[in-house]
Amino acid sequence: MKKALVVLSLLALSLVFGFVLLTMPASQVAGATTSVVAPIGDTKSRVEVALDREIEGPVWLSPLKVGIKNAVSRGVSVNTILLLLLFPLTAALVAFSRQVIGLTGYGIFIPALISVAFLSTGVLAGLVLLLTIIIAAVATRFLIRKVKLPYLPRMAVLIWAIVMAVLALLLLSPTLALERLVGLGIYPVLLFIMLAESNIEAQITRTWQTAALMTAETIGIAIVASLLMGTVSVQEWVLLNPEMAVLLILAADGVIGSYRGLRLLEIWRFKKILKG
Amino acid sequence: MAKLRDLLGINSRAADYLRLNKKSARRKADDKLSTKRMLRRGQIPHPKVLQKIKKREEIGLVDWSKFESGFVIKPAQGLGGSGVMVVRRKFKDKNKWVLVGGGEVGAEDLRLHVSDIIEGRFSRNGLPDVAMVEERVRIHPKFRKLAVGGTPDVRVIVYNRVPVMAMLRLPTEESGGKANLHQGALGLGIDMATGITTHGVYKDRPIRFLPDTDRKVNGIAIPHWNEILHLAVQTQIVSKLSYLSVDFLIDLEKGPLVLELNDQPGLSIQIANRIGLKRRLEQVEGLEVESAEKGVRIAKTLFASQFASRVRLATVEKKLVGVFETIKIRVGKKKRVNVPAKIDTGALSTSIDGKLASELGLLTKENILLQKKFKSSLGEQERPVIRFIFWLKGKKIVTRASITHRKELRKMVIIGRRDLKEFLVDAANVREK
Repeated sequence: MKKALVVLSLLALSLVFGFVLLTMPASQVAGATTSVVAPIGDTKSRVEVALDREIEGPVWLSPLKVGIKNAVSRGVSVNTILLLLLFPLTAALVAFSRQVIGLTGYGIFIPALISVAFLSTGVLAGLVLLLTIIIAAVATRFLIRKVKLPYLPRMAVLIWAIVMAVLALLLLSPTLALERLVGLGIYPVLLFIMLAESNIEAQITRTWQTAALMTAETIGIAIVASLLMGTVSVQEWVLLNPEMAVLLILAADGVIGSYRGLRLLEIWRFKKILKG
Repeated sequence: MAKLRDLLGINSRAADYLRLNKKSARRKADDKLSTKRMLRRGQIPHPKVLQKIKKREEIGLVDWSKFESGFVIKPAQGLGGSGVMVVRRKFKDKNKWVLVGGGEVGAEDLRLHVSDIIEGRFSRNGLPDVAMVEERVRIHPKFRKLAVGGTPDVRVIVYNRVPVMAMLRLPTEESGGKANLHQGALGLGIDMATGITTHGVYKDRPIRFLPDTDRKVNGIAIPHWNEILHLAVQTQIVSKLSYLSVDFLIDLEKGPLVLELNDQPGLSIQIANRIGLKRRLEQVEGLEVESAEKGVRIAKTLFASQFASRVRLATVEKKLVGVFETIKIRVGKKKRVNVPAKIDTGALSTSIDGKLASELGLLTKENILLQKKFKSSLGEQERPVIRFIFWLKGKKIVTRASITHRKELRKMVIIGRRDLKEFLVDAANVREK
């Protein structure tokens, strides 16, 4: 239990640090311009501009591209199309991190969804929000550990506590000068709560150490994926070469799936019995 | 020490080996009750089930005091040793039981534990489960000082009817008496040829000494090693699983008992043995192995450690004989005759009384190999030497025997040391058979 308290206080400390970072204007934070991805709304114009360029070659060579162009010109959201095209890439990335690197995380769907949530909130704001939610969940679980409640009512209490914490964060954000949280949507919050629920479940079925590790791995994978999805050049390339992108991702899935060698973390695990 | 390409990883285990296991066979292996049914049909020794409890209503009807020599309560579909309660014995005067770890429980605690099992608290998917009460295996004296608060088990991985790798699992205080490595138990690798431990693993790290002691992990000889290997292969054959591990407990009296099967055994066994599993699996791939005997022979030949050749001549493989044993002599093509014999390490060669030999019809011309001069305390003598085939303790021995006059002696046959290389003589055992 002592270790758990240490971890909890570390989390709280990083949350405070996150607050401080958030209160600074984006330009002052070191590396913020490259690592913190601006919400998709800002990049929209540039991506749309790219789409306005003439399509070279015959239509039958790039049916998807022509279709996208037509749909966008008639009012379909370019963001939605972009996210749809990039989501399989995220999924492939999660599969890669499991199959080749050896990170566990919570299945494939939760890391992929969390990465989309990060994309819409920005990594730093997302992390602050996520930390708030996880601390609320873990602390509440600790507080009510002696109260005998069945699983679902217990989860309901946890969700209540999480929502209160997020509510407080939102209500306080204008006063705390957390501008980047002001425009927060409901979906990232819900997705982060889902991660917290998986974390609690893993704590129950396994140990809290495993749960913490799996949550950290999930967040790590999600951040990498959201950084990839948020990179403007990647977005442009995918929009301009949708056929190629879609097929390449499928091929990558096939290659990842047929990898039968040792995972990177397994080599680490066995390194002590290896020759030389 | 292993090479990178020899190691089996999660990806390859799933794609190359677990895929071979049929779903129906896996389901049987995952359910301890159907595993036991299967073992009973295959006449493979295993701990007996004393009682099954399927419904809540049945819990109150169980008479706990009728299980005399201790018992184990476990979920039929449990995972990784969770939900197992080992009861050592009942207090004589009160309605309480002593657990193996040292704890003390009342009848109410036993009922509560059973009801947790039935509600599925320990089952794979949280579905309702069956609780079973199993006889408790009495720990082998050899292991008594090695394990803390639990019973050690021996795990053997079998593929293509060949035992490929094995490990002795020792419970620790941390593992709560359980033999599962990820719960903090120790794993000691075992040399396949001799059944002697080699290296160790603890929490996924190689170790040389048992934690907090100066006892080395190597050099522990597993009792009944041959029997364990044979039973492991026989278990694979009845289980219809292509790739599995078989876990054994070793009972004080009954010897090795199959505790459970696992259709996706862990990979730490490679650290315990410091050897890659993939290479071994590839070595036995595609071999035609029609019997357990052949599979065990292959394993002992292929997977012997470097020290095995020095060990084999010592104690491990040899059968024990007393001073007097009944041997079975081959007479003609089909006939076998039982004759009492004396084991005599003072004599080099085996000899048989001339009268008995001629009665059995062994003195035919084609059976006499040569006439040989023998020196003895009576001076030089010429005696015929015959072809002699006999069985001692079930082992067939093809040799030669000299003809002597032993009619004033009690045993008409003596077995000399040339034919005793495969045996150990217990000089204290002078009982006549």
